[in-house]
Amino acid sequence: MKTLAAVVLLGYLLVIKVEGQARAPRSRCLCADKGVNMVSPKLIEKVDIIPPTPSCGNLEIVVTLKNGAEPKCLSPDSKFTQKYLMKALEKRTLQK
Amino acid sequence: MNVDSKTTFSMKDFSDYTDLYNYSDYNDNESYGAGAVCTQDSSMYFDSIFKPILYSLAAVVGLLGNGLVLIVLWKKRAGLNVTDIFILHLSLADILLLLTLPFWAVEAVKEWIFGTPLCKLTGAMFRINFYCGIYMLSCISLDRYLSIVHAVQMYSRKKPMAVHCCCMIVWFFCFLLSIPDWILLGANKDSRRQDRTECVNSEALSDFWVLVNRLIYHFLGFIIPAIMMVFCYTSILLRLLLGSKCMQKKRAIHVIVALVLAFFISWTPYNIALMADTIHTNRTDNNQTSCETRTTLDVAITATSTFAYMHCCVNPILYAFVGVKFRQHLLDMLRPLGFKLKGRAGLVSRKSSGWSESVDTSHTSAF
Repeated sequence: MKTLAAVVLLGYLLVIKVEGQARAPRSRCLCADKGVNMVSPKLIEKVDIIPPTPSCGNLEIVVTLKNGAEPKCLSPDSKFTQKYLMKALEKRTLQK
Repeated sequence: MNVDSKTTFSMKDFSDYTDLYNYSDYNDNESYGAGAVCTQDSSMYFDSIFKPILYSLAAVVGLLGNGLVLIVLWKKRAGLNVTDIFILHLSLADILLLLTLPFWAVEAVKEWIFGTPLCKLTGAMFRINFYCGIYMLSCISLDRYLSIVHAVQMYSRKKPMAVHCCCMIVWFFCFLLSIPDWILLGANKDSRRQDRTECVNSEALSDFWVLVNRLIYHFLGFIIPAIMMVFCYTSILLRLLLGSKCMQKKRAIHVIVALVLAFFISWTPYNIALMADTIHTNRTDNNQTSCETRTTLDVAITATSTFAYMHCCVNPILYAFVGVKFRQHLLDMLRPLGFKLKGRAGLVSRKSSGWSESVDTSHTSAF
């Protein structure tokens, strides 16, 4: 009886937060670090804002550059981001 | 900043800001390579080639082997001994796990096309049988240890229901481990993975819970079973090495070494890959990391996990087909089908097992 109680208790604890380990889902964000604080506007082709998804819990900003240069991650916390992307986002939201 | 889905801006969206081009927030301290973007394209491509081939191979070979075990044991169900019953449940768990592999293969090539209900069912079934298979191996090693080293019958042959009850407890425990899958798994589109729909948890876990889950897996899925197997089979080996030598004893030793090695060869690389990934992920939060390292880890986890699933294909050979009595049952079953037996095979008999102090053990199908 004690064994059964222990098993049930352990099972209950595990139920609370045990997640998909068997198939090894793991966190895989696009950005290798926090990102740069600013990207030269002249080089910007487009900016993607990606919200949290199953594979990554962070909001990420990926800037696609002209001339085939490597994409860059932009820090969501930088002044540049807050000033310009936030305004563009609010503007788009208002248009909906 | 509140964004519900991937949002794209072009420079037209910034045309209102005349001061944008004069803005300067450049940080001289940002090192070379800062802001690197690690796409998952190459690891996803590897998955789409590797998984279908290996999963198909595993499913075919494993279903054949385990299916054969089930048929033979089912035909002899009235006379099953303790180990036979554990092997029966082991084969059932392996079959159910292998049946899920085609779904994951399709997901890797295309995307998850089967909807959320089937996602929950498949994911939970995978986990239940993933753990169940490992725990049945542990039960078998414990049963053998008690029989051979202590000459203690965990269950009497006259009470097979007691063994089945033990197995049902294991199944129930594994079912508990799968409850989060029933609740959280779903078919979710992920804009970070080529906008493909995958059978994953609906939300990413915080780093803390990812770590907790990894640790739980390492302990429940590998360390505890490994310790049990090493302890039990080492004790058995020491016991066998005492006393007189004989061919049967040598053979038993070889079988034990083979199945312990098979367990560790299958599961250790996978656990090491997971540990490396966990360490790497935690390090990522603190400083910069290499995209190549991430891709390498992704590929390593896919390769080692697939290798681990192959253990389901090896189990029938290590635990069932090595048994003399099991092969005898198999031959008995095949004989009505018209198979001609060689004279020697037909006369297969077993000398008494001098090394065994347990009468029941000498009847085990596996030794």
